[in-house]
Amino acid sequence: MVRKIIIASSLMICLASSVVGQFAITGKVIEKESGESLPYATVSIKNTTVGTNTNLDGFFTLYNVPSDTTTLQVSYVGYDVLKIKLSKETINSLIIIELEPLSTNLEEVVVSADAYKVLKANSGVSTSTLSTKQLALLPSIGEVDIFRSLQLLPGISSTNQSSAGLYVRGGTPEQNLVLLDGITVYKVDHFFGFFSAFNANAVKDVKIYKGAYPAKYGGRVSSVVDMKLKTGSFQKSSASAGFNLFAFNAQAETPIGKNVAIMFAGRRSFNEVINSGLFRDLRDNLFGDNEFSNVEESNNVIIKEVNPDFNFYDVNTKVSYRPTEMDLITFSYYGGKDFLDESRDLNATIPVGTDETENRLLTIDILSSTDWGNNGTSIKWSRQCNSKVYTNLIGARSKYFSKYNRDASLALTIPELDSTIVGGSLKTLEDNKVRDHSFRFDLEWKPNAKHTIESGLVYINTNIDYLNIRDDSIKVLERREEAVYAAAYISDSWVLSDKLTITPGVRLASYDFSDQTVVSPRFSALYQFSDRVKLKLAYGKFYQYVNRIINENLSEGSRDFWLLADNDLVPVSRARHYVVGVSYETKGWLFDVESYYKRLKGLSEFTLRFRTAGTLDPEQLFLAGKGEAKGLEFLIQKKSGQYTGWLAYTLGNVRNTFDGFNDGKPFPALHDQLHEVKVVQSVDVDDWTLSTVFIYGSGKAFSEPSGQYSVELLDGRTLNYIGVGDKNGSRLKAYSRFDVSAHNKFTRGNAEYDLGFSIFNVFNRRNTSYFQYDFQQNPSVITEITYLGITPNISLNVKF
Amino acid sequence: MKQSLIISLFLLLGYSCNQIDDTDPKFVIEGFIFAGERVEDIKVKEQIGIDEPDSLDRLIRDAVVVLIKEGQEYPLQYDEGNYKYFGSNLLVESGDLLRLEVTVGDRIASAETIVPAATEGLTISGTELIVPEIILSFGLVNKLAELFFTSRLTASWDNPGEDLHFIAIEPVVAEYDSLFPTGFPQEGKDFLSGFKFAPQALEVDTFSIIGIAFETYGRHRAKVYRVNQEYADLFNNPEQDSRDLTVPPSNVVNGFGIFSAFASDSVFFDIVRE
Repeated sequence: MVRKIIIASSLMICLASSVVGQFAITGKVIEKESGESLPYATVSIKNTTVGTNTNLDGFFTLYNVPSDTTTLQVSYVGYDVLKIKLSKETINSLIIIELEPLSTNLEEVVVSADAYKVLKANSGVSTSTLSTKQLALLPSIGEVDIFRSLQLLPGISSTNQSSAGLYVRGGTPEQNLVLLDGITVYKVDHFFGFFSAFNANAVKDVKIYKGAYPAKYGGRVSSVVDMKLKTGSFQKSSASAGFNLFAFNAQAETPIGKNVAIMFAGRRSFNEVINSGLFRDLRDNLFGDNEFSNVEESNNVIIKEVNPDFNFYDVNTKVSYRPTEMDLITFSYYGGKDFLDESRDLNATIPVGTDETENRLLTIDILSSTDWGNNGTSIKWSRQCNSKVYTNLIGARSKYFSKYNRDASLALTIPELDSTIVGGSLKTLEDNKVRDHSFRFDLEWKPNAKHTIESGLVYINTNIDYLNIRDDSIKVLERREEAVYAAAYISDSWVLSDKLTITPGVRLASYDFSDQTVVSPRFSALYQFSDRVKLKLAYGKFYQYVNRIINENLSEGSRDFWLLADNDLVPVSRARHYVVGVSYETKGWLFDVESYYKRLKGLSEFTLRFRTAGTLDPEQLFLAGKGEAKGLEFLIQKKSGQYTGWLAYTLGNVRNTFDGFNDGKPFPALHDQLHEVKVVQSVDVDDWTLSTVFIYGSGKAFSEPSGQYSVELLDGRTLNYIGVGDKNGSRLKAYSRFDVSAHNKFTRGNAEYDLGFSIFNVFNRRNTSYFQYDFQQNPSVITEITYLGITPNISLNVKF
Repeated sequence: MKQSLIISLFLLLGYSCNQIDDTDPKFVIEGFIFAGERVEDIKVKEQIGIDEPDSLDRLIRDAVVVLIKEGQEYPLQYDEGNYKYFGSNLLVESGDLLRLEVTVGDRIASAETIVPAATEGLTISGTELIVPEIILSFGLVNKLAELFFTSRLTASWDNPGEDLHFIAIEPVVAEYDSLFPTGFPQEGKDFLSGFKFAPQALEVDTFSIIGIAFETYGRHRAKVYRVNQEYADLFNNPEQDSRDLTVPPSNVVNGFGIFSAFASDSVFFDIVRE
C-alpha cells in the first residue's frame, strides 16, 4: 500500500525543519490504479486536529508529527480513507500514498465512515469538492454533468433547466470564474444550457468556492470553479467508451515511456444519425413542436423547412511529462462547440392570369446559423522544489466565440422569362469573440507548521469584439476592446493555535482599460470549537472587468455577449462578501450552516425596455445599478456508507437597484428565489446503485405585462399600449422535480461495464420556464412555456 | 450541535424580517389641456387584462384629481367619463406649468406639462375641395387615383423653431351627405381615410388635405395643434416582444398614459360636389 521512494536531497531539507521530538514528513497522494496525483486530499494525524491538504499536484508536507509510529489518515472525496502507520523507515522517505476509489461492491471493500462518497462540503469556508468518479451515480438529463451536480449544493440554484451555468448565492453565471487547467472558460454549457461543457470523464478534480474566495483568485464577483484535467496514467494504458440517448463519449490514456502520459476524452451528440426520443424532447422543449414539419404544401405554396441541424462536441487532451518525481510539465487543450442551422426555404407560385407562363415565383431563402463555444490551451510547469516550496508557472490562451448569422433573401421572378422583378436580402449578424492570453506564477511556501504562504503574479490580456447588425444596415452596437489586467497576491494560512487558523490575504490589481488600480483584501478564519464543531468566518472584496451581457433568446441559440468594463457603457463590477457559518461533523454525518451577505456595485443590464421606435442609442440599451444578496444555507449530509446523500436548504434574497427600473426602488433579481430544497439520496444494493434527486424551489421573479390600455388621440384615433408591471414584480409557480437513476456495475472479461437507467422529472411536472405573449392578437394570447417533462434515458459505459 | 442550532435560529429570525415587495398595478391617466379652454378632458382608468378585448375601458370614477397651477390647487369633479373643473377661476394660458395629481386609494400618480404657444400664421391654400359624385363603375379605381392627386388643399403655418405640430380634421356639423355611394367597399373607405390623419406629431409646417380621404361633403375644420414632446412620444411605441417588454411612452410618474397641454389654431374648408 505504501511505496517508499528515497529522495535524499529533498528529505534533508524536510528533516532539517523538524523540531525536537516531532517530525515533518513529505509525501504525495496518488490514485492507486493510475498513479494520478490527487489534489486537495486531506492528510491528518489520526485522532488529532493536526493535518494538511495536498497541493495541486498531490504533494504535502505535514509538520508536528508526534512520533515515528504515528498513524496517518488520508482521505479524498470519492475515495476510501486510508490509514497508514508510520515507521522509522517511512518518515525518512517521500511517502507515496495510494488511494482507491470507493467501490459499490460491498463485499470487496469495507467503506470507512470517514470517507466522502460524492461531495466534500467542508473543504474550507464556503468551499466544496466533488468527486467526478461518483458523479455518474446521480440522475441526469442525458450526460453525466459536473455543473448540474454542483447545482445540488446549498446556495447554488438548480431550478433553471435552461442553464447549466451556476447561480451562486444570488450571483449570476457570468460572475463566476471557471478555470480548467488554468484556461478561463467563458461558455460553460452545451445545447442551450441543458448540459455543461465539461466532460466528467476527463476531469479529475472540481473545487468550488461559493464566496469570499482566496486571494489567489480574482476577476469575478461571485464564485470560483477550479477544475483539473486528469494527467493520464503513467503506469498503464486504459480506455473507455460509452453512449446515452443523446451523445457518445470516449476516453483513453496511456503512458509513453516512464515519464510521459497522454489523456484524451471527447463527446459528441449524434442526433444527425439517430434522432432519439430524448433529442426530440429537448428540441421540442426549446423550439416548440410545430416548427419541424419538413415540407408543407398548400395551394401553390411550398415551404421547405430543413430540420435544424444541431450538434455539439467537446474535446479534452492532456500531455503530461514528469522529468523528475518533483516536476510536472503539462500541455492541456480544451475545445467545445455548439452549432445550430435553422435555414429554410419558401417557394410560392403566384398566378397572374390564365396563362401559366405569366406566373410569378416568389422565393424566400433564409440562411440562419449559430455557432458558439470555447477553446483554449495551457502549458503548466509545476515543481515541488523541496518540502517547503511548491511553484506553478502557467501560460494559457482562451477563445470564446458566438456568431449568429441570418441572411434572408427575397426574389420575385418570372421563371418563363428568367427575369427578376424584385430582389434583395436582409442580413442580421451578432458576432462576439473574446480572446485572452494569461500568464501566472504561483508560489506556495510552507516555512513551518504554522504558516502556509501563497503568493503569485497574474497577467491577462483580453481582446473582445462585438458586432450587432440588424436589417442589413442598422448597427445596434459595435465594440472592439482590449485590456490588460495585472495582479499580485499574497496570503498566509496561519495556525494561531490548535483551534484557530486564519488566512489573511490581499490582491493588488491594475486594469488599464479604465485606468484603475485596486486593492482587494481577503480574510477567512476557522475555529475548531470542539472535536466536532467548527466555526467559520470569511470576508473578501472582489472586482470584475469582463462582463457577459445577457441577451435572452432561448430559441435562437446563444445571443449573450461579453464586453469589457470601461466604466462608461459597462461599469466595473465590485462586490463585498461576508460569510459566517458553523459545522458539526461526526464520522458519518455533516451538519453545516452558512450565512452570507453580498453587496454588489457596478451591475449592468442590457435591455430593450426603454428603446423608442426607430432609435437605437447604446446609452439607452445599458443600465447600471447595484445589488444585495443574502441568505442562509443548511446542509445535512450522510457522507459515506451504503446509504449516502444530503439535504440542502437555501433561504435566499437578491435585490437589485437600478435608477432606470421601478423608479429607482429595489426589485427582486430575475434569479431571486426565497426557498430551495434539494434532497439527494444514493443507496448501494449489491452491484446496483440507486439514486434519487428531489428539488423544490419557490417561484422565481419575472416581469409581467400588467395590462393594456388605450389613449384617444386628438384626431379621434386610439393607440393601444401594453403596460409593463414592476421589474420582476411577478412570481412564477414553484418549481419541483424528482429524478431517479439506477446503475449496475459489472465485469465481463477484462472490461468493466456501467449500465445506467435514469428518469428525469419522474412525475412529469410542468415547471414554468417563462410566459410568451402574442400581442398581435386581440385579446392577446398568453402561452406558458414549460421546462422538460418526464424524460427517460439509458447509458452504457465500458472501461477496458 | 446545540450551538449551530442556536445560531441558525438566530439568523433565520433575523432573515424573516425581510418583506417581499408587492405593489398594486398602475392606473392610466389620459389628460389633455387646451389653452384658452375649460379643463374637462381628463380620464382616469384602470388597465384592462392582457387577455381581454382592447375595446374595454375601465373608468375610475372615485379618484381624487387635483390640477395645480402656480401653487393653486383646482379640484376636478367626475362627470360623464371625464374629470372636469367646474369653477370659473381657472384660465389656462400658453406658458403655464400645470401639475396633475391623481389619487386612487393608496395609489398616487402625477404628471406635469407646460402649455405651448399657439400655432401662428395658419393659412389654407383654398376654401373648397371639389370631389365629384363617386359612382360604382369599372373606371372607379382610376378615377379615385386621379382625385387623390388633384383634389387637394394645403394647410401651412409658421414654424421657424421646428416645433412639434399635429393636425386633426373633422366635420363641423355631424351629418352631411356621404362621399361614397352605398355598396362601396368598407375596406376601400378605411384605406382612403388613412390619408386624413397626420401619421404622428412632427416638426413640420404644412399638411396636405386630400378630398377623398373624408367620408362626407360639407364644412370641415382643420385644427393645427402645437404639441409637447410627451404627446409626440405616444407614437414612439415599438412592437412588444414578450421576452423583453418595452415600457410604454408616458410622462406620468407612478402610472401610465399621458398628461399634456396644447394650443391650436383652426382653418375651415368645404368639400363640395363638382
